[in-house]
Amino acid sequence: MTEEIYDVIIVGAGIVGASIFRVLNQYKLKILLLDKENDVCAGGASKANSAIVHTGYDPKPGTLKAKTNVRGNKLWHKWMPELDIPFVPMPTLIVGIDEKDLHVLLELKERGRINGVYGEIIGEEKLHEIEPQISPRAKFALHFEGSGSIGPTRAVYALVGNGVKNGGEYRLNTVVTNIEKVDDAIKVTTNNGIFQTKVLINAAGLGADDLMKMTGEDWFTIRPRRGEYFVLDSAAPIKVRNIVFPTPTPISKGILVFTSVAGDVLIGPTSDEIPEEDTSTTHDGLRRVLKGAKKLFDFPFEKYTIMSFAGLRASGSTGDFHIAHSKTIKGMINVAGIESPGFAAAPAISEMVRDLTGELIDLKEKKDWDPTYKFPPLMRYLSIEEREDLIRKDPRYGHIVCRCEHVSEREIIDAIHMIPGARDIDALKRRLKVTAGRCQGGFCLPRIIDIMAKELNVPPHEVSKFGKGSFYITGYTKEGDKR
Amino acid sequence: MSKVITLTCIVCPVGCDLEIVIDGDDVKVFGNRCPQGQDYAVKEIRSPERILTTTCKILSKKERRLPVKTEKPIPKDKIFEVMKEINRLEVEPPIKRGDPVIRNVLGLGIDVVATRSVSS
Amino acid sequence: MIVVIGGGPAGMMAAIETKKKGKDVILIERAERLGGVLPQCIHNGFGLHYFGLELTGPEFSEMLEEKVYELGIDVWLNSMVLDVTPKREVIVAGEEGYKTLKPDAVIFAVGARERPRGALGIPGKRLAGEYVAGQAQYMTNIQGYKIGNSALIVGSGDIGLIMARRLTLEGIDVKAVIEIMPYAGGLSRNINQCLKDFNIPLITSYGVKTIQGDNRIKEVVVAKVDEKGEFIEGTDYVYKVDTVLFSVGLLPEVELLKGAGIPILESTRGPIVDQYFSTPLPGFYTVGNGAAIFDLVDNAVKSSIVVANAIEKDYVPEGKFIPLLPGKDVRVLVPQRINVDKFDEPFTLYVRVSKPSIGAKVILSSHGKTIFKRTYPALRPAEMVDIEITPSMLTGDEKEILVEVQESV
Repeated sequence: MTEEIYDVIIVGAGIVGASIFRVLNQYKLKILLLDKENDVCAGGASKANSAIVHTGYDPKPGTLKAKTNVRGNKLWHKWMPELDIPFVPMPTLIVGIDEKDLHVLLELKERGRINGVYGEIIGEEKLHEIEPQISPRAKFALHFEGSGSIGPTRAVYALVGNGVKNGGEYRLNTVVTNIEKVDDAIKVTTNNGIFQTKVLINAAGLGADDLMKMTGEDWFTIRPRRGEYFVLDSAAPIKVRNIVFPTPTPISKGILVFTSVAGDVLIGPTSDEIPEEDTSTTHDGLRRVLKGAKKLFDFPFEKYTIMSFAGLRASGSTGDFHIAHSKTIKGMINVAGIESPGFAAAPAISEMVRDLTGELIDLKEKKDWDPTYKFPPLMRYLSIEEREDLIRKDPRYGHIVCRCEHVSEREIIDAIHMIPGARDIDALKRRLKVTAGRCQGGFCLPRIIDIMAKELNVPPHEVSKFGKGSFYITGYTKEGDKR
Repeated sequence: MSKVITLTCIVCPVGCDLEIVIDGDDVKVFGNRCPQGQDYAVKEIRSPERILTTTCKILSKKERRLPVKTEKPIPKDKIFEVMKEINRLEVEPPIKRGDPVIRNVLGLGIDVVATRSVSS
Repeated sequence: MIVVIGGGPAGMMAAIETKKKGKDVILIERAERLGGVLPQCIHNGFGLHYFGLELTGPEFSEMLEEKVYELGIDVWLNSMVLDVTPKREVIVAGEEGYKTLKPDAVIFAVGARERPRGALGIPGKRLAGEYVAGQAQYMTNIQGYKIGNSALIVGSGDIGLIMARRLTLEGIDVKAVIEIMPYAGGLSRNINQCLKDFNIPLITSYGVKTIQGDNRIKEVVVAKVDEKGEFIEGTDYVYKVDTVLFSVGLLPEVELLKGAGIPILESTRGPIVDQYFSTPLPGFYTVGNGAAIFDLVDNAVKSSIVVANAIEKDYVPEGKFIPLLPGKDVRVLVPQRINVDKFDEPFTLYVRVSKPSIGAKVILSSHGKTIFKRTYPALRPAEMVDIEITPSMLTGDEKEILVEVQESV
């Protein structure tokens, strides 16, 4: 079998793998990004998280988590405008109700200071001024600037798109089944071909420990920790201006209430270690989400929910990020156990990985490296004149398909053909928010299935929700099943 | 050997819970508050009928299915057989609302008609 | 010039009736054709009250559509109203760009949307095979898609019952309809002709515990609930299905109304309207399901006729109003206020009760004084009660009118 030869192969197209992909494509290297799902950013934590760029007060000082969080936050503020990644700055508020809480808040303030992040304690009056609907029981809060809500999937798409722009390649639906050292190179066997590479970067999220085990390193394990969330109707009569945390307990950070970059209020997450990967939401978990949110705001959240979801954190057994050369295979770098604050830390993690890569191979900068990426136009963010311009170019920009989020037919087509393009409905949802508004696709899904079938040139019964056989239609009336 | 069937009468909004005892050809109705309920129950047992509404295929660029109905009620036990006949159709437009797509379906003396118009 | 937003039955009727009164009318519809949801409602039961005929949805819709075009009403298809300002500017997006209209009156005929699974917080996975009933209806009847092989229907409202029959006729194995309340939500006619006819069990007091599968749904676990809605231990039951249809309620589409500054009620989840279906803002009317969820399309379109009459008389929502308040066992009232200064003709009050009863009385009273009392052999949430309110029933000094159900002893 012919082997395809690369300088670097990155396994895992989540936020970490995608950040590394962007950074390494600055250099004259042949790079391949692999992912087992039908889209980048579709596998694990990167598609189901709070999407908060944390300031970095929280991780234990001296840990990789702390260092990369603080540095990552700074780097994001440079990357986001370059890469057209939506971001809404929002301060962090950790709210306390009594004296016991105040002591914990002071401790957190100090921890932040050691990490290089400076916050201040505010009193009841100021707190109610900056967060008017907060519970009347809230007496004080620890306030940090510099945090905000990011579009997490837009970030991954931009990073991958930027990498491809600069010469990188990516391949989907590819699972690594074996890794072995053959002379100076690493042979990577997958279900989609055999590859040879000088450097192999393991950014496989929940599966990172499996890749490590393949190479004889079974000292490190990853346990999934599930977080459940509710999403509220964007028209719910509650405005949350900060990222609101409760005072943490020794066991958990607590249930947050915050506004996503798209303007929806989210509540969550829980934090439950589970024996195996399972993204089901649970009766008990969702109940705890509501209970926790009500501690912060006296609001009937349950009346305004439109959707709930769960994400899995790749929780590493050392309690900190593991970013290091493989102990057994020269040329392999493991980037494992990236849980919160993984998103905020990603740019800094990719710097570290670049340095580790530089110890293995020569990094020669590309003179024509382009740091930018532009997402196809989204009507809802444009002015009336800009929208009319687009409609003049293509009337399909004026034909609204997703009525809750005002997304047009042409935007859907753009999202299918962009790089990286959407090949299933969830992939479209992550790019455009279609089917994720208050009707949850009640109106638009059937029409979007038709558009997708046409653009991908497949019959409607081959349009799936997230690849892997998750087809919507089993056949046609009067004709029976097609499968 | 008698058989007992329960049925909610649909003649008026009261919706009496009817208990019907069937002994061969003999049908006894209990629970009805009026004589119409008795008539409804007997008909439902002896010769229940339904109007069937469904769709059939249409060879048109604009529409993929044409909604149709039996213009009169058909015997309830013939529903799936009539469905089979309708499922075989491939109607060619133009078709007007009310046009028959099957005449005298299954020899029952009842047409299946289009319930919407589709131009060519 | 009158703008009607929404080309479903209520909107078409509003356009027809106002055009007949000699007004210039623009009917704006976001889909590629008129009809709203009626074209996909291929079953019959429409038009019984209005036309005296038993029509299917497509027939009823087409008859109105023909009238719309016959009267020369200006119809804008594929056009979506993005915003209506308090100053009555209507911003429309279409394939020709954006247009702003400044009509003399706006009639919102925007209909309703279905409540999604997420509104109930049903736990489990999010897989292919999950639908809301109207969505499945569109896919089956308009697109001709077979949405699965075996299905469980959650919610016994009429749309769910209709789809139970429809899917069965198209060869899908509908295992059951489960309903969280102790009684069915839809009309008895549909229980009989959609479920009993096909031996589909209706299981009341049951809710969904979780939805599981790998890429497509494989099973749904349900369990019995007590009066508080809590799951009862040991009552789990597993349905092995690849499809779940949710039929758990409709919500009026109020987003545009909110933008115009019209207050929305908790009880109806729709705007507050008077007997002319006028909102408190002059020149803003709502009709059909966009005002409140009606039981029959026949009743929904009657609101359009009332509005056309009001517009002809240049009605302004000014003067003394008496609020109509929902009391014991009353869930929804339409309208919710009476303009007594301009009350010269009778109007229909629609009452939706919150639970079934036999031989109960519906009572309208004002501060203890009874205005109206009638005994109903049967009351059901699925079937609205119409009560004719005449000017002679009121003195005009009432501060409020309470509508309640008094159970028979």
